[in-house]
Amino acid sequence: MNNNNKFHLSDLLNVEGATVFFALAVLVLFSSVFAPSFLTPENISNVLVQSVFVMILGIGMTYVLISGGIDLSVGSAMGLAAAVCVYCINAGLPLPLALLLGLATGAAAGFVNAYLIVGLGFADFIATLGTLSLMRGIVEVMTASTRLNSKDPGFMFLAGGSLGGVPFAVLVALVVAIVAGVILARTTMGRAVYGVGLNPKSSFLAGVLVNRVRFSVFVVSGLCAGLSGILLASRLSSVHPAMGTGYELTAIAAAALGGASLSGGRGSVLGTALGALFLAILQNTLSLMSVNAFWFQIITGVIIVLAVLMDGGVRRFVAQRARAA
Amino acid sequence: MTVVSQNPPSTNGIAEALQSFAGRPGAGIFLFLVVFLPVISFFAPQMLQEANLAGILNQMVFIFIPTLGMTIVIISGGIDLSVGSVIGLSGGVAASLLGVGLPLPLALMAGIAAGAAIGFLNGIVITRLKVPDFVATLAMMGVVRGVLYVWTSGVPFRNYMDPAYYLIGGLRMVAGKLTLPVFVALALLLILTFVLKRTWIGAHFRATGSNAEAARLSGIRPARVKLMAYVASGTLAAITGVMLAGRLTTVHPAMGAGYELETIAAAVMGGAALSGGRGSFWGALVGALTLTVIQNAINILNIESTWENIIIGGIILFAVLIDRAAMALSRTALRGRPH
Repeated sequence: MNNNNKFHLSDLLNVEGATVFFALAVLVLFSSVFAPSFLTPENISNVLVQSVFVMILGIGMTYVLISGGIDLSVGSAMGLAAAVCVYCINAGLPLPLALLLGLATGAAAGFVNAYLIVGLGFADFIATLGTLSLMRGIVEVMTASTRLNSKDPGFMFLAGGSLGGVPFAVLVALVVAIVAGVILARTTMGRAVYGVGLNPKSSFLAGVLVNRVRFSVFVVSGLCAGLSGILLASRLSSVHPAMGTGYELTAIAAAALGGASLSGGRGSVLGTALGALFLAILQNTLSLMSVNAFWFQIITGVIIVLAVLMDGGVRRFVAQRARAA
Repeated sequence: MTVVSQNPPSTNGIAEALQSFAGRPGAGIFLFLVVFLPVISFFAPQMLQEANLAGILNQMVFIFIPTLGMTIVIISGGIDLSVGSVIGLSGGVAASLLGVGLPLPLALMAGIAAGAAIGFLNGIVITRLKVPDFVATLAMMGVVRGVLYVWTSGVPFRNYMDPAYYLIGGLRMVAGKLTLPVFVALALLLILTFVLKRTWIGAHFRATGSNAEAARLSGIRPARVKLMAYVASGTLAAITGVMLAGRLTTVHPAMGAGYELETIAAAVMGGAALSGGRGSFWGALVGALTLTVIQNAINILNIESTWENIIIGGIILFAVLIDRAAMALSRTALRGRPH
């Protein structure tokens, strides 16, 4: 912020997630012009739904990243929660109960991670690596022994149905984003997460229950992973053993695009949501333009680096202007 | 400050030696392995057969060599997620150059050079462009993998093998039942251990990893040190990649995928601390060996491969726990020693 009260255009850049917003705007512009049938209602609806899975995952990941940690197990947690949910549906349990159990599985995964990291003192990288393998293994065992697909209409509605023209999954993501964003940006709890990430010792001295914050963020991440997994299973109407593999890296990418730093203390739900949208639109555009699918990884990698660079550059630029003012 | 006395009181030398050993990186895992092997061999005596043990060594090399590079990077305070993709690409470079008729030594060197170049690029992006190492190597992992896919058009490289390559890839035995890669790994281990422990390079890596700012004030250039670490990691991954291309006789575009997590696990199991400054190559050896032994045990005991992930995940957590417990025990035991 500058010291005089005049508004400069560069003040906009200080808003969280500003850079990804501009990048997104450029991408949408580009796609509208160069990608055939990008602006059709079906395609837009499709892309929005496609972005939901990484978005919800990314929002949970944002909490963990801001607090200075990392959760590599969310991809496997997605698969596990989905497996439990579909298993329950097939076993005849009412849909709400099955959904609840699926979400509870995600939360439980978060609890295990949190206990390993906060309770037993494991490094979060290693602990979530271990749970990643463990949960993936459980999913593989489950899918090997029972068929995990479901055409239950209620279940299919989650990712396939719409309310008032808006896909239900998108509404879910919107609610998650609003709730998570408000908590993070406007409540003491949320500020505590930033504090723990920026300076755990100072936060502790200021009365923040650092360990409790670190514990909760992993549970949040697990819960989001569970929700995302259930939605993905609904879209695919089945759970396959490799489901969710690699999603953790995309979620981290979305968060990084949105301004989250891997050393903690920075990031925002809005930024991550826009980042997830950006990645989904990028993939959609490339496939609409018939670009060889393999190029997607290359382009995504380069873009991630550019986005991080831009974000750092923009922050330095804004800080310089603030100093000069 | 402790004063070194002229006549240190006599103590039980063996107990003290054991306690100080327990504190070394990877010691806990090593003890785990020493206990684990006889127990498993009780259920599956074939495990201790010469052929199987040699097979474990031959197999372990392909995790061990990239783990050496990962250990260097972790010691200097970074992380390298791109090793899996580098393994794939370097193998692809070697294979395709062989396919167009280049002599084997040149093709191998080109593959290794490609890995070193990627490592260099990683280092530049991280030290000059100040991108966090996790993000940079994550992006590089995707980019390099994508390049391999585009280059191969999704179709594996084939028909490039020649007799010497069978030897280098470890498909022909060299001494007893051991293959050439084992000796390559041994040579690398000895060279790198010497460099890390006895030269200024090793000290600079550790200093940069523990406290980059303090290192800089001491006259070390952390940027240059980290750059060297990433080049080393890329090179070692590439050495693995060109050997792996020989072993597998085809280069599938997904070759090497997933290796980064295994090497990180092996390095950490061997005592490397992700916060930097700590790590050892012998520990890396123990870590790589443990992972391979477990996979071998799962195969021999005919455990369904679906259980493999569960077991590996559990073992990683268990092994790290043991290592930390051993370290903690060693610290408290040695703390009580009179000077």
